[in-house]
Amino acid sequence: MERRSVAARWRTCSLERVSQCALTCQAAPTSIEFVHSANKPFQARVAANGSFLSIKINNIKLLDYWGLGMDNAVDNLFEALFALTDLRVLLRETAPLHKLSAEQQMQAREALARAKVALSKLEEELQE
Amino acid sequence: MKIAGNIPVREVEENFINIQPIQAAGRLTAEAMKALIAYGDGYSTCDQCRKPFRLDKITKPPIAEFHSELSRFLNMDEARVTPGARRAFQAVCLALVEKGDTVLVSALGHYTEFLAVENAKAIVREVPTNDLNIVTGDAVAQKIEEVTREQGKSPALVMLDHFDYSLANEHDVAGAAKAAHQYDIPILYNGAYTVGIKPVDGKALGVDFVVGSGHKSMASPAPSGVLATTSGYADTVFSTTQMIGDVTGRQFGVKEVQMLGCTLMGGNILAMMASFPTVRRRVEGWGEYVTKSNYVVDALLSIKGNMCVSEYPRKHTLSKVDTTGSFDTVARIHKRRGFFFSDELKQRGIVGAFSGATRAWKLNTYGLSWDQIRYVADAFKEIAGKYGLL
Repeated sequence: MERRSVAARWRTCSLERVSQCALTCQAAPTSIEFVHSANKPFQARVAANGSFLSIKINNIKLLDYWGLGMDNAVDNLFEALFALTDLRVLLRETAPLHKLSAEQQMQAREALARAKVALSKLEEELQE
Repeated sequence: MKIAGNIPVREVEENFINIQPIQAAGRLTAEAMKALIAYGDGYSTCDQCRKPFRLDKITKPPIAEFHSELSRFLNMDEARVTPGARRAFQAVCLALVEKGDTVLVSALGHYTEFLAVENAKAIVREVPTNDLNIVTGDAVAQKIEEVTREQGKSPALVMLDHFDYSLANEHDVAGAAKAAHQYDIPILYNGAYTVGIKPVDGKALGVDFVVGSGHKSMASPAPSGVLATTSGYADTVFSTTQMIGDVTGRQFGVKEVQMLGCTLMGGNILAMMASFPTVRRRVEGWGEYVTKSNYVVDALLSIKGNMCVSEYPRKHTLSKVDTTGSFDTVARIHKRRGFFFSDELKQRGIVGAFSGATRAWKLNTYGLSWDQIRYVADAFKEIAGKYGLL
């Protein structure tokens, strides 16, 4: 069984999603704790108005489960890797001198910018 | 820089222009590299494998759709991905050929065709080329007649490379198909050097099987390939298992015998799929790549003593040239012998010519930009000039 506490960085996403499912909650939940084990319904222990209740969330797919958690970090990781891959291909296309045309320079700048933004977000998310 | 232990990072394509004859069209697209990053884990295609539990039926990621697209791309009825063209040859031979049968291959046929025939316990007979090193439909017909006369039965299969690995000359596949079908013999089109770089229309060619190589011509990792066929042969070559375990009674119904079940189960097929939109687009630009190929070959031919061993003008980006009358004359007296030439190329950022070879050697210019093409052509002339060969 895997037990996850909702960290601050998850809150926006997870509260929205659980609000949609937690029909018994009369107020916006203020904290959530998730419990998940394979082949069982996803469960959330939701705090709202000072009291706790547990709900089973059947209509969140497994991918959404990950969406509640670390997907931003993982997405940014892949985004950075993919941006650098675009840059790698640019280096191949311009080998051996790597003299970039104006258009290629723009592509390189874009790829680097994408990588930097993604790495910056990743750094933030992993430090929270 | 090391990946792990003493495995170095491969930086050949980033640091050099690579004219290696078999590597050019297998270089990955950015999308394929990304697919490898995301799907490199062993059975990564199997996250959402559902009944009937077969690779070509998986819809997420869209592997089933890719199979349909592949068969449309080649204008055939059914397609499967295979671990390289060679496994496709093997699958067809094992499905169609019986022990002692004869299979015709080209005198310029690839060695894996020989192995596939041998694997089926059959015998290879070669169709000779003409004076121009081309296999014609007439030559195929003559060989069929010859084998039939000798053995009292016709060959079981004809396999013909559209462009061969040695000279990359274009052979008369349509003529060969017509000849083979006149004798009711199926024909396999070896498109290892065409599928993925130039348009291939299996039905227009009149062939029964189209085989392509992912790692050779479809911007995919090795091993990867494709076997496409007609609806008439699909049931034979993609036959499903009939075997029942005598103790357990187990059956594996939909698994295809010649494919040995699922074929490419990880990053290879996803990379192949990721490259496919580019591959589909790039075949339309084949003419320009041939023009570029001729540009480089012409530069080589401008050097006194050089010859083009392949048919000329070039119809392909892979070419065999003979520089015995030029670079080899330098090699004979140079302290580095034949290596002087690859040294000179490498100093200019060009690799892939066989190290030490200064007589007959091959190069492939596929995928290079015009800037790179001009750079390579100039480099050959510059080296010739340095050694007084112009």
